Amino acid sequence: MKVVSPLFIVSFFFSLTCYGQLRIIPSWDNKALELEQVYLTENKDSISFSTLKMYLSDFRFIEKNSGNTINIDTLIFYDLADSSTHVFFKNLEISNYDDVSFTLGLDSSKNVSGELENAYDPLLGMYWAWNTGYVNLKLAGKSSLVLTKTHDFEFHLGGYRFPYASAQQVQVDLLDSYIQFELSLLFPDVISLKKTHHLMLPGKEAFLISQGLAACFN
Amino acid sequence: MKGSRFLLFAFFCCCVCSFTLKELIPSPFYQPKAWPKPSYDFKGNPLDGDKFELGRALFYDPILSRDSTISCASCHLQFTAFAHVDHPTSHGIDGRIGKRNAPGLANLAWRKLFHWDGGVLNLNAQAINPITHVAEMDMRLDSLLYRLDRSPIYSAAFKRTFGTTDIRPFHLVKALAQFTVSLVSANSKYDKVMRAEDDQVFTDQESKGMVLFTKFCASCHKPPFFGGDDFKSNGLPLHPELLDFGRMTITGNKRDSLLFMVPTLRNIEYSFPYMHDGRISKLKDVIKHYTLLDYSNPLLSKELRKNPVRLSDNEQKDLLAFLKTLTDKTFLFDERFKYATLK
Repeated sequence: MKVVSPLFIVSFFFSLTCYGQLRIIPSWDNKALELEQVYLTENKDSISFSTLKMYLSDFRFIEKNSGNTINIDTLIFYDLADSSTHVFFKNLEISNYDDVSFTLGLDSSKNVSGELENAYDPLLGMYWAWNTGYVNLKLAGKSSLVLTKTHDFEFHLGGYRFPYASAQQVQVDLLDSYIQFELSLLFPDVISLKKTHHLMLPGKEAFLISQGLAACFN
Repeated sequence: MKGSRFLLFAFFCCCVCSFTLKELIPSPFYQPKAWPKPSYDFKGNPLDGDKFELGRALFYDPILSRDSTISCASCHLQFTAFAHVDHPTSHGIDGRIGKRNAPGLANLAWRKLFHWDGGVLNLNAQAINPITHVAEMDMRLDSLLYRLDRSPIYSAAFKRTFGTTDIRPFHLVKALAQFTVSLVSANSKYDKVMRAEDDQVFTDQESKGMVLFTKFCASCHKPPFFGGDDFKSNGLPLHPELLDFGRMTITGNKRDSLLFMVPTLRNIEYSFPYMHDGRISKLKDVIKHYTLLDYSNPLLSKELRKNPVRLSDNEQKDLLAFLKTLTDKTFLFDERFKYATLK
């Protein structure tokens, strides 16, 4: 018997009430992720998340049959702790499109724009003051994999300079009006919390983890 | 009846005058003749005398720091070219000490990169660094905005200048930038001689110094700014305690290790101590530093390696005399840049 994904149920009710909107749903084992909830990794290590914030930008909606596309050059800020940031494109008929591509993070021109307004507001906690630019994604929490007293982990992933420009292109099928972001895929293959539990600098490591993050969208 | 008409007319005139006066408050910024176009995006923050006054008040107000003890001016004093005289590195709240020499502020409208490592790309955004840096003002932006909002003077000023009661970080930094972008220093003896103004001429010693400067220094300290957006190694070894690798911190590129921004030499006479960590106190010793360098050091900037600075004692004095012609006293004592509060 085919098991109905809990996310499908969420999205079904969501689509009844919010038709024409796009939603990002972070998940763990296909269940909507909740902050401070303790989950188990494949190897039965505990993990919980206290922060998940990210930028998504430069959306492109694609209609396969006609080849029609619509580009939306915008910057979207997502914060799992703030439900007002979870739904986008309220005036777009999402059901008309088959695929969506977007950038996880900001490209270099957005990083250096100096705007500081709306999604660029430093109050959102994503602005890097010491090295002008923005964090593409912030992820923090606790895990038994972190062998310190507090078991805390914290990742600020960003950087737009060659060769470690960490913004990632993502393309996913748009079967429903949501994009799933499955975080269980990160541990331990993309992020080994035993080796690295704090990362606040742009560079090779941030770049490689960002690549792994892009593969978590489906 | 006539009296009431007169009163009505007088009221109308006052309204027109107050509106006109508001429009007439000028920003001190100006474009010196023969200078290139500024890099600053004035379209995004058009010059406005009222916003300048708000920015000036904020610049001098310790309200920006967590314990209300440190203002921008604590490390950027006007009469020392907006640098931090006599302190090798900047001081923050609770006696905290940073690891870099607070640089002088002048002609920032023509700069694209800020800080000794060029990590900041926008003059507006620059202000966020000292405000939030733990070794400087250590202030949370949301707490600061709350503080400004609770201040009758500042909340009224932001409402008047930006038309908002919801003060956001971009309002704050744009107001501060109105002040810092206006700090134009282009009226030194050097400038007057170049403009053939007021019959100004160099002394013999200054003229000799200018020849030496052009030969040995100008390839990095290019006029009219005498410094700017380039990063060079001037042979200073790594400070064993500060461990500041300069530009490499930003780019992650090992080739950028110990490269620091070429500072402006305008008003250099007054902006001591010198170098990125303030390790040299006297200007004559800065010149001596270059004459004593090991020019076989492959990490030295190529300009220095190609053209080693070899100067006799007298030539060093000539060069010093020329550097002093870059002092702009009208800038250092300009009333428009002095301490002020909002009424």
